[in-house]
Amino acid sequence: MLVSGVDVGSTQTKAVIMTGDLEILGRGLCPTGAKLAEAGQTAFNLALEETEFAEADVAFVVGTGYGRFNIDFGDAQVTEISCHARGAVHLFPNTRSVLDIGGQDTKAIKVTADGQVVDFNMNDKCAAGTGRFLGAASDALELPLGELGPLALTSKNPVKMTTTCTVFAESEILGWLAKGRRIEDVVMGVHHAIATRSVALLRRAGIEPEVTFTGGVTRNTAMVELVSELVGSPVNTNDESHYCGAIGAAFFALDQVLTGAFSERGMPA
Amino acid sequence: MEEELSEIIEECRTAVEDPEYPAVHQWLKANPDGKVLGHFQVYFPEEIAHAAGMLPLKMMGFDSSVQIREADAHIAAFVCSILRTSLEQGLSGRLDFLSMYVTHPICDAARHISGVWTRRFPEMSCQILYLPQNAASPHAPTYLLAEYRRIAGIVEEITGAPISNESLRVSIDVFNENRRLLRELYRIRRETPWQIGLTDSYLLMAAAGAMPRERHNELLGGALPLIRARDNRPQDKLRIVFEGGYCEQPPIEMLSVLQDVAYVVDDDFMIGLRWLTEDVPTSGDPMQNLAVAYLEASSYSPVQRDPRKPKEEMLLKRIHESGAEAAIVAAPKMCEPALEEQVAYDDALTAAGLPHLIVEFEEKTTNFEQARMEIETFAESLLFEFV
Amino acid sequence: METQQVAIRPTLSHAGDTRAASRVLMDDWWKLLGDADAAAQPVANTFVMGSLAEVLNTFDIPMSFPEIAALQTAVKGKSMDYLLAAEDLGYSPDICGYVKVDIGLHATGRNHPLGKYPKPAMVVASNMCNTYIKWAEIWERQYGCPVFVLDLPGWRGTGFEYDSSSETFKNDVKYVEGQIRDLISLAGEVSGKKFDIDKLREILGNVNRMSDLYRSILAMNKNKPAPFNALTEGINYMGVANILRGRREGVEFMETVLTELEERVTHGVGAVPDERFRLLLVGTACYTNFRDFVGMFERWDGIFVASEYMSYAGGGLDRGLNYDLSRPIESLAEQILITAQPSMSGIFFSHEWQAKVAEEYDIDGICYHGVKSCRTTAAGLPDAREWLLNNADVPGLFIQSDLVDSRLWAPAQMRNRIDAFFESLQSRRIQAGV
Repeated sequence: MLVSGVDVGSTQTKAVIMTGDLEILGRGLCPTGAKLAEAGQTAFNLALEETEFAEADVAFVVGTGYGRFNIDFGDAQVTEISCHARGAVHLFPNTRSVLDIGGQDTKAIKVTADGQVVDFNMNDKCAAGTGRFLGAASDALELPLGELGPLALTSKNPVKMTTTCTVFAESEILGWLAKGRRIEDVVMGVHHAIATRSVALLRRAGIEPEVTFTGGVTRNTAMVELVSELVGSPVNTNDESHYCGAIGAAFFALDQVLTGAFSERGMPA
Repeated sequence: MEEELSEIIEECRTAVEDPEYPAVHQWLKANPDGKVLGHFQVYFPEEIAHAAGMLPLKMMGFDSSVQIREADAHIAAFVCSILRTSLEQGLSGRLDFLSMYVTHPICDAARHISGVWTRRFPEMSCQILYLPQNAASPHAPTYLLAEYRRIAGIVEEITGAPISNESLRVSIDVFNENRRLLRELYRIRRETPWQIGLTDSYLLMAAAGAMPRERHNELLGGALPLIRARDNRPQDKLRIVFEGGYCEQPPIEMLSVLQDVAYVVDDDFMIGLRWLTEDVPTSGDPMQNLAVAYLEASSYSPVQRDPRKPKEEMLLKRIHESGAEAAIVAAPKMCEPALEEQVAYDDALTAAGLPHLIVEFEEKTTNFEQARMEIETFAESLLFEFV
Repeated sequence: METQQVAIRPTLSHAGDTRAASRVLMDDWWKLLGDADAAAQPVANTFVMGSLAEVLNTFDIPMSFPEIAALQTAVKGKSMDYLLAAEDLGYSPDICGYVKVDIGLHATGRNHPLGKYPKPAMVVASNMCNTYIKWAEIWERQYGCPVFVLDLPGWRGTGFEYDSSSETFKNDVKYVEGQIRDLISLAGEVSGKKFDIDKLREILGNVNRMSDLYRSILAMNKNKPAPFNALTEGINYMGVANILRGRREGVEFMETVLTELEERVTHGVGAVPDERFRLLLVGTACYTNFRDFVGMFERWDGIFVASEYMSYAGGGLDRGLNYDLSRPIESLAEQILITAQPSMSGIFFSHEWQAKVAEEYDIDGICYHGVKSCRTTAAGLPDAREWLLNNADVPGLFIQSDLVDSRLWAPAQMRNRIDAFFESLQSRRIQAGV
């Protein structure tokens, strides 16, 4: 018996296929783009291709992420807050705090040992402290997103970003460069601004160890270092962290198959 | 001579800019049983604390030297920087030496300080001083006197030192001296602004709230004759008034942009330190004299309602009395009271034919290119006009 | 085919009475203001907190409530027109939206969607919100009308309780009483009428009665299911409570509300068909997208059984006003301090009040809605939320938008947070084995 979780994020869509024994058989990843429904299907297909099964073998699919409002992909929808909580506790069982820096939203989640959400905090409408802020920096500097982290790590004297607005980020970045500051110091300043605001969200409900860092930004080594530094101890990440939301969604799908929990809980679609 | 002056200014700079409050720690070292009373902007009758042997400390914000780590978790996003920074100072433990914290509900955001501090620091005496918002009411002086007596009672409880008329008179003398020196500093700015730059003048003034007043009197008393004796040559600069610094302060670097471009001949920076505009009499009931002075012989700000002091008229008066030709009307980012005055100021200055520039600032700004360009363009446009 | 069980809602004889009555009363109010404006009769601008309707009504001076008027433009989908008109005049995007809607109304011919928006002949502004005073000064400049500031010294710290024998209390009462006497003189001048203390007595008596009824209405929601939505229906109750404070029609309206609610309770009819989550609203609502906002809670069968708004914007009615009619002016001063003022201070030391309500109304969670427009209600919410979660184990949802500025409404983000909150409440229940 198979279940699937599909996380349609603002920039990337992630999917996993999971067995009843909690084994991840397949993973799919694709850019979300403008066609959300297609992205969901594409990622799901990619994940399925890694297995030897067909779509009909998947008993239940739970959709999560921003895109879940715009598609009827999957059999039920759950917010990515609940999914990241669930996924993080699966990946790192001692997790009590989860930080997900997403493209639109950053979430700080306090969880119980079995992955239930105790409390969560998210950024205000402004996108400072989210992945989009990195995107703005990447645009302003004309550097690929993937190069920002390694470059930041070479910084010796990071600038202090003061803007709290992605709209003004570009002008501040260019302002620092015009002042003769080194590009790595500016990039590190951007990382620092995001990390500080993200960890401030964690503090809203009190940081309880262990802290697990999830989502696409976990692949940015500079950010992982900074978050660890601000939290005061190393945060958990691994290769699966990127898929955490999709994994959590797959767990909710499994709940449904095993116990009919969805109908019982009456989570509205 | 210049060396002596720059030493004084450096001592003031450290007191104002160092987020570890070195001047307070120095005082505590000399007075191991001493107690410190923190008070938030704008005005607090510091004489009352002083008379019981407490060190009054004016809560200021800080520039980018203080990074916000904790405070954002406790205050909504659309609130000014000084509220965050001052709370950050508390949450980071740097203000652990405070025995008492007094706030005045100056604005809707600041009214929450007391609640937040009480929840975070339950052992500290957090008090709200309700200064009259119906300042012209005939009932206000009686009310305010009783409110001062209430605060004095709490100060007495915390220090165990009774506040007598005699001790209060001594304190009023110290503060009268301080206000006299500050008035003198501002007179120099008006009469011979080339003798002291804005940033130095600002540091000399603001340090009053960050160190024992006696020490500040010594420093300022030493500095003024040195400034007077300077042989600087007047430059062809625009004379302007800066309005909008009554609570959150612009970063020093922004002041230096201003002084490059113009003579700032008057301003409202830290207006609480200069709220009382005349000597407070020491004869009779000194507490009553303090209360009456607050209402009857005082400056103005967007956070006090007094129908006898319409803000735009007061600003015009400040401009005329300082011989300024133009004004910068500034507001800290997210500062509702200052932002709400902007249109009235704009209208009044336009009607009076006074050139003015409306700007926003934040104490944590580190990038001044835009501000510099705006201010330079403004000044240039006026200078060319006069040619 | 399965047979579906359909819950049959009993036919209630008083259903809709409140809604009908409030519509008529609100229309009448707008007509009164329009007529006064047309006849160039003096109108007073006043605010929901510290309105001193008792005094204004004694002189029959019609009261305009710019906060309520601004709220109504948002519900009618018109607030942005006025707000942007004010920003065109130079008012900042970062100040109170209510103020800007009002400025926009005055700048564009005073045509409110519900009627003519009158010019103020006088203003009563208390310090319960500092922005009231700044707002009043804008009218003062524009129309040259007298501004009366009611200065109410509030609680001096957390846990502060008025002790009527204390020096502080006596001193505060003296100050407030003096101010009320000043207002009586001013209202006499503006209206050209003589002060009639018996009329004040009658009005105070009506307020006492309204306060009793208002408290009974609030307490109705201790029932399960809760008979009214403290957000949607509560706004109506409160609107009328403010505009008709002290008037006989106000008392009758409160009676109508209570009768309708009592009937709902008797028949076990809740405000939402299948109540599952009982919530307390702290902060205000988002009126530009009011239905969407409420819908995001109702789709989870969530109901606001209590609202902090109904406390502080109820002018002390919720605290139990009990004017001593034998000494009306003195008692007015005292009661304002004892009731309305703590309601306001309750915003800043809100955790104590919230913990109490959470228990009394058996609340599952608190929704903290921070509105950019209103720093008075919103600036300290994150701190209070954290305190309640960690000290009283009441979960809280923190969301932000605005009262009247639709630019701050982000529906996808809003819904995401609300859904996640309900999911977590659901999990809590499952864990608790409920």
